[in-house]
Amino acid sequence: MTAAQEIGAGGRARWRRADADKVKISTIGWLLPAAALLIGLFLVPVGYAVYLGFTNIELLGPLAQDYSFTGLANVSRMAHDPVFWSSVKLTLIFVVGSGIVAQTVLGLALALLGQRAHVMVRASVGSIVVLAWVLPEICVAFIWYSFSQAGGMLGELIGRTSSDFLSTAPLLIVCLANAWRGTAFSMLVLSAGLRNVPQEADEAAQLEGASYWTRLFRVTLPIIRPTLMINMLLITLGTISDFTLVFAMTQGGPGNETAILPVYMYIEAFQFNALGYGTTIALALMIIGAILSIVYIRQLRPELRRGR
Amino acid sequence: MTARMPKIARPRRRLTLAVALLLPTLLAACSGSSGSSPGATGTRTLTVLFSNNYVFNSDQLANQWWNGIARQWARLYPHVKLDLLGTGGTDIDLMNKAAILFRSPSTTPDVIQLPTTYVGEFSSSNYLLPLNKFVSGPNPPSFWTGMPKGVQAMSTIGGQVYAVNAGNNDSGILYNKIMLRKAGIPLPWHPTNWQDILKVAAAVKKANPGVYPLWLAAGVAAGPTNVLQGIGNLIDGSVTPVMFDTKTNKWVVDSPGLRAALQFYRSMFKEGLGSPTSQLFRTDAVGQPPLLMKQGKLAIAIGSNWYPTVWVDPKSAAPWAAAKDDVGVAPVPTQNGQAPGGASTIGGWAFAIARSSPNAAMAWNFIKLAEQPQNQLNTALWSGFVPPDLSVGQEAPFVNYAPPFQAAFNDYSKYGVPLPNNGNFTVYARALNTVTGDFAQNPNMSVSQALTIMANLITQQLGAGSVETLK
Repeated sequence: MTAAQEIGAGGRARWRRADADKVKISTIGWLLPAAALLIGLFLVPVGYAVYLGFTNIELLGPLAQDYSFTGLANVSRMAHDPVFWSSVKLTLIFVVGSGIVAQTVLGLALALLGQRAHVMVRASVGSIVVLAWVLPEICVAFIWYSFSQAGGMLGELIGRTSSDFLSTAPLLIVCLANAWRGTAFSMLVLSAGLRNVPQEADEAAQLEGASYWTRLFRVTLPIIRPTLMINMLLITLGTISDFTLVFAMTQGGPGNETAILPVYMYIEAFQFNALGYGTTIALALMIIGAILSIVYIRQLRPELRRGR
Repeated sequence: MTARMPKIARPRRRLTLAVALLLPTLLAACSGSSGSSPGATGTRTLTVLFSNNYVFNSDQLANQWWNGIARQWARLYPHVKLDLLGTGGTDIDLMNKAAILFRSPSTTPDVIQLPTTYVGEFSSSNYLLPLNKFVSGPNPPSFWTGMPKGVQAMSTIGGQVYAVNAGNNDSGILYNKIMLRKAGIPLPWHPTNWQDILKVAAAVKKANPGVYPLWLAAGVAAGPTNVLQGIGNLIDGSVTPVMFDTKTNKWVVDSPGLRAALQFYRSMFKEGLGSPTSQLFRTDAVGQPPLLMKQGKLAIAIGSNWYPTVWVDPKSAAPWAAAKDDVGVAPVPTQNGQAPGGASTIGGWAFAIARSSPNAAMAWNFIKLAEQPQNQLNTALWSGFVPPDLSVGQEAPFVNYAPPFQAAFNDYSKYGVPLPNNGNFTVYARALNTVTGDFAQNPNMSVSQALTIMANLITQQLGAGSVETLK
């Protein structure tokens, strides 16, 4: 069959897979277990969560069992909820400040310094930084909780023992804790990226008289741009859904000063019993994550095309 | 061709074998098991969900009490296995776990231990079995008839008894005598109104630099417990002691008493008399006052009757033998010293039976066992509770425990006012705790602003028609 024969009378291409000969009906049977697992353990729970987000279900209370579909009532409530919008703002500060900026910059700095450092220094610093990353999140939360509260080591270090940084600057402290924990990941990813930068390119720029910073910004960073973008995408998705660290350190407080979206979702669902509304916030969080992912992937598209 | 067949067939045989092995496992995992359903051996199981490290003063005491119950149960009902589902964390953690377990009858325990403040929420969810048939009739159990009407009412909603109280906490003022003496306060100190408390706290602050003058719970970290052991005592002692108006079924978000209570918080924090947010906002804030008093860091606490039971217990987190001499006790005064002269919220823990339990009679047997005088007494001594049964509360081992505090707190229970047992109390508590926490952070906020925040929080959750103003 030629390509011309595949064009129908209306000009619509009759789709035919290039590997059509390999696809047999019997193979569908082999895919069924995996499909069943995906449907049962992923699609059904997500679908059910989407449904619950449009109901008035309560964790406890008269609507715990006798709940009903309420259409867009939760969405409308969310649109008029000042705490939700404040929570969105806090989430963006948390993700951008402690995730995208701090972790990427610190991770890149460590990776670059590691390139020039003695192997022993590189190994030692790398091990210490990675230790923060491999610690369970709850341990990191308690370390920073002790470190930053009144009488903690942070106050001792800067000579203000009575300062209670966790209460007076809670968002800054949780951002620092998150950056401290996540920097190792960036360092590892970007170190791998830097190892793939061809030395000739750097040497050529050096022969042209380019300074270190010019070479960094004009040669190295453009070459590792796909790695940087992937790193930022992973950091964003990891940070935007972070609950344990913030909840264990502040429970979203004082007031709502650190109530990022995952924490606010928990407060609504488990402390105010508004399970339906909490699920709607979860869906909003999912949509924000999806939008950010699309933005990153669009940014990556030229590189992906080039690499094809 | 035939020679290759075994090679093709082998994976299929393996797959068939794997499916044969996995399928029963998956089915068993999916099927779950009902609370007191008969097991494979014909032995029935009764499941009890409880807090294993929040109710008792130490984990060791919790184990001691529950192991004792398990032994007694095995003697009384050898053919019914008692499955004790101890849960860690705070009361809030226990309630969240319970709320999730109760969503399916297959995971619902037969008996649940719960704070009385949650009985309304669980009963309004239709999760609890009314116990009227067990507690009424010609021969009601003595532990029930021995409870004051007010204690019975804590778990009675619309005439239905949903839980049986196992022990209560009331409140009072505990103060460090040495610090007050240093400030020139005549002892024993007996504050007659709220201004007295602030005045003495200010004097203590001046005479004892570096000490936290006054502990009054604030913020959301401890959930409804912060109302029970904090602002609830002020509201109940105010000129309008109403949180939930049972006549209109509305929550009070503005009243002279509520304004005065919030003004107390504002003054306390504005004058630097309150405890720091680093202590108040801790997730384990509820347990801090007895520890801070023992360490000499806290002068006065508006606190709970269980503090002294921690001090007398050498196995507790804060044993303090000198407390009986160094710490004084007084009732929380009313706002202006008006009758009855003292105020105290009262709330505790109770046992309830799940509506879906297939064996309610056996579950009731468990409650009867837990409420036996010796078990009730041990609960009271090891948890710092006032026993619900008055006759147990009059027994010498209880009255003479942690002198002079136990007798004093027993006396203050006459002022006891239960917290509202409405299903939405946690929402109201959250709003109250939010504004007390806001004052701790920003004492320049006005009382009117705090009331607006409160009203908004409640109406956002429960609707505009759920709140009212009392004149």
